[in-house]
Amino acid sequence: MLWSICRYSSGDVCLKCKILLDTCVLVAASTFYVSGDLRIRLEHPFYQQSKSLITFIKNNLSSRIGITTTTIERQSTPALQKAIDLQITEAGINREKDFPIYSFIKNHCEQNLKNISSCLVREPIDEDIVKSNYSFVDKFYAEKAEEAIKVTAIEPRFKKRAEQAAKRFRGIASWIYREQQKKEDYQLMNLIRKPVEPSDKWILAEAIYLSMLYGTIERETAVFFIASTDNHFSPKRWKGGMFSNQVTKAIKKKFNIICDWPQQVENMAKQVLEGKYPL
Amino acid sequence: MLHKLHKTFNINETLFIYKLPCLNKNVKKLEKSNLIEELSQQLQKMEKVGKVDTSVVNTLDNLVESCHSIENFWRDNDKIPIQNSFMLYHASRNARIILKKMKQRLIEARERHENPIVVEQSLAIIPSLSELCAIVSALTKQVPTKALVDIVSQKVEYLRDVAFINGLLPTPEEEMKELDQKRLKKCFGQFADTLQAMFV
Repeated sequence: MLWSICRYSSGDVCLKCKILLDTCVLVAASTFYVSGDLRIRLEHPFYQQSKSLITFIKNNLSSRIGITTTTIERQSTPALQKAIDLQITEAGINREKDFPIYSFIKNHCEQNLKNISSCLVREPIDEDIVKSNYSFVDKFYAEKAEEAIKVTAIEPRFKKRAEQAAKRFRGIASWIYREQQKKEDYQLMNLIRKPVEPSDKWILAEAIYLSMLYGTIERETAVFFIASTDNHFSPKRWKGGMFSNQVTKAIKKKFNIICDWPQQVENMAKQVLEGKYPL
Repeated sequence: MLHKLHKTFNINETLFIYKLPCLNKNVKKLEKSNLIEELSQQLQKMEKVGKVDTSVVNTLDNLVESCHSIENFWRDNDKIPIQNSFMLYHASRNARIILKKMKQRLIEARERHENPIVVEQSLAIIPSLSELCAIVSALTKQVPTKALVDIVSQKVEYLRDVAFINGLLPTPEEEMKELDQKRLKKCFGQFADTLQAMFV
């Protein structure tokens, strides 16, 4: 499939990459309003990095890097509606003043979403294969949830670490290491706090299908990314450089899919296209 | 297309023909006439002649006013879930802002050299506009179910798509004119934060 092989001007064939944009990224990139005349700039907290990734995809349109699925598309508009519903059901809503505003927000964000979707590739999906992938994904997350219980409740690391400290500092060391472990295990614990929704598992099952599909139809190996701000896929990064990525690492190991935040995916994808990214 | 609508929604009976005490006099005046059909006929005449007749502005003003009163009806209706009243309000509002855009383009057609293309474009949105208005006004007579509201949501999306293709969708700046900017900033911020929290 020549269409997806990226060529430099010299004619050398470079590595390809595919980026599946999760619902949250599409929604974040759609949630903005800028008016130069009115000096207004309103945007989602993750708008900048999501928009930057979409601009990168648009700039490489002929390489057909950005992909989406009907599942993701079907989720995006209702997600915007759900956020509006949550806002208008709040106590103290002033219907006279707020209805026109939310109607405007709905119109504007949905229009942005349509514009973004137009630069993404929709691949056909074999639902039967995705269904069988889903059972693997379901099992995968169940195992990770079990691991979360094990590392936090059954064999917490912070206790062993604290034991190595001098006796008089053990109390404070125990507190420090417990807080550290909480941060390190955030991604695992998130599976208990906020179990993965079936729709997210389905998206990963579709990603596995697409990743395998590209593996069979492409002449060159394609690096497959999922750009997401959801910690069920992407790592949790803390200030000071600490991060939690047990689930992300396991997805990479088991399914050969790299999940990360839009900004990181954009940087990695650029490296892949330049032939620098180590496989 | 209009014939089809007659079958599906019995448009003559439903479109703007309802009796609710809270609606203003202007709407009551419209009960006996079918304004969208009137608009459609006026546009068809213009298409034949190949020139915009600004007398259509009167019909458009009446339609805009009527949509506005339906908007207010749904906005103030606290007998149904707020999500449903919002969606029906949103539908009526979109019909109104698209009609306002149509009016503006028809008035400016001569100086912008859009005569008679704007008539063809206006005619292109009549079926979807008529369909949406028919449902939204018909629902005032009953308690709208979630399924019906979902249909309205789809119809709004379709109308906006057709209006966009035909250059009859107001720009965000045009839409902004009737909004409170301070409140928009506040609501937009809260909306973005809610979306962020939904995907952690």
